[in-house]
Amino acid sequence: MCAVGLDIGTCFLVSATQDESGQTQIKSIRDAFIDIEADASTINMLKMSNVSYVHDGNNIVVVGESALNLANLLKRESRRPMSQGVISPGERDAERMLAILLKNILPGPKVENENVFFSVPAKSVDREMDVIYHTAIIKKIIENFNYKVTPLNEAAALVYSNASKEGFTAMASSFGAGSVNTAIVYKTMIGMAFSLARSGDHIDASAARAVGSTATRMMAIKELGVNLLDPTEGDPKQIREREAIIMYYRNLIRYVIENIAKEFKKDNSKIELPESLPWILSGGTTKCKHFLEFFKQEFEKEKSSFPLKVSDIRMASDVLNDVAKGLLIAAMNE
Amino acid sequence: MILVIGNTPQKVELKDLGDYIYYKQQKIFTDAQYNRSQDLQREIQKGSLTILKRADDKSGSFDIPSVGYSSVSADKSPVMDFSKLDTLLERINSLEESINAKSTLSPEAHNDVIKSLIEKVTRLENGISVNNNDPNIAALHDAIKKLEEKIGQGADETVLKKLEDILNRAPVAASSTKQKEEMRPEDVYVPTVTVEDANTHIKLDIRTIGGGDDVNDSLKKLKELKSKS
Repeated sequence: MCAVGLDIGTCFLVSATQDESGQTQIKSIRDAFIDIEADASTINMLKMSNVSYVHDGNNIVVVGESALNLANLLKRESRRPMSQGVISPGERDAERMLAILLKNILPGPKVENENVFFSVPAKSVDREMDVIYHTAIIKKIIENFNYKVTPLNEAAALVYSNASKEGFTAMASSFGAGSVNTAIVYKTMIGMAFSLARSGDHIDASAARAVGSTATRMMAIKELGVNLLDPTEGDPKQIREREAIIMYYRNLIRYVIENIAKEFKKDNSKIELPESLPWILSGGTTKCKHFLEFFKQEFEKEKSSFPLKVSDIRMASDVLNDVAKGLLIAAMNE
Repeated sequence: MILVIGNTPQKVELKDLGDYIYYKQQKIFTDAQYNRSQDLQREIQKGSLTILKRADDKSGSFDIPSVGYSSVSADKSPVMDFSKLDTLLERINSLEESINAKSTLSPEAHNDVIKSLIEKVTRLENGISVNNNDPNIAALHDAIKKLEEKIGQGADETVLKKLEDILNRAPVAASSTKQKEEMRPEDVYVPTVTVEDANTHIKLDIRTIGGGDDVNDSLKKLKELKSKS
């Protein structure tokens, strides 16, 4: 069955397809880029290396993970086509770069009207952002590649890939780089969905401000692996940084729990729900050590006033790829 | 006594009277207020306020027309400053709080609240008459509706009639939030992005995954669910 699930995240683009033997194949690339001067020696060097790049007119644009490495090397900031869950409003080349990356990550339709389901964030409750424009531009780009295109809420996609045993009824929160998306889904129907414009990037920036460092450095420390239950684990020289990161993780989790409670109280009359439901956590920001335990500790503090009965809190089976997998399931079901 | 109207999208501050006049808001000032307020006189001279009517203080009063007036200078600035409506909504919300606490208000204070409400309703009418498709209007509409419920029998019949009129005139506004939610990506202009000319050398991270709910198993269960419903 030919279909594609496409997770368009602030940090990564991830596609999921099924091969002929029914195995799920994941393709991903970091959606970052940096432009460099195009001279013959640079082009030769790039050709010989494993670096992903685009020769775009008179420019050379290094893309993906290599863009981050090169940015660190050149002491420059890498450019990103996405910001806080949507196409970056301040990046003039965002649409074109995203289109280039999407063309590469999509395999090309094998049948006429092949379905692509792509992830979109829900409307933000704490930041003005143009989800409609974001959805429209992505849809148009992918349609130009001759696919039949459908947007689906990012957190709802997690329910498709992680809650079949609960009849696709669950609450899911996707902690991406730019935003946290939460959805309450009842038998595949989205009862409530919203996003918060704070997540991994916010942790990096806040922790950097607290210790007088840079967000990029904090991200690097975070990605090396911070044990949320024990800041002393790791390089002793970076204990202050880890403590700051942990503090902002705690703030973020509280912020998410508080806002879910608030939004649910606003919307609960519209939502039909079972007595209790599982809560699925996912996204790159959950990759820190002991995120689940840390989250549960924070939730316990708020549990008595939380308006939903949560049967269990669990991590998605594959926090980086389950949105794309869920989108693939939805696309194959069409 | 003079009746003035706000002519600029920015609110006009009358510091010496401790007052503001918003775009298209009409307000009455006594001759005494006019004579002592340099700010009022200056803003009228500048054209940011226009005198609509003038009458002797002793000769009685004149009503503030709610809708359908026209002003040449106002028509020159058809762009509505919707931030004004946000401010108004905030003010109405605070008014609602005041009304909630009306049991603690004296009859005089309660009357003041009602008078203030009349003023705000007039501004709202102006806002609605400018663009009743703006989603802010829907929020304002809801706020008025709530107010109507709250003030109940405590309010002047005229106020209630005004509220009813506004609600009747704004059926589009009531559904405008819904319209915004239902706005489709197809309704938005987006540029065409072509990438055929880009010479790409991109290496993707490719892997085959397993674990969790198997895709095929989930798909099977999803189809079962859909067939039941």
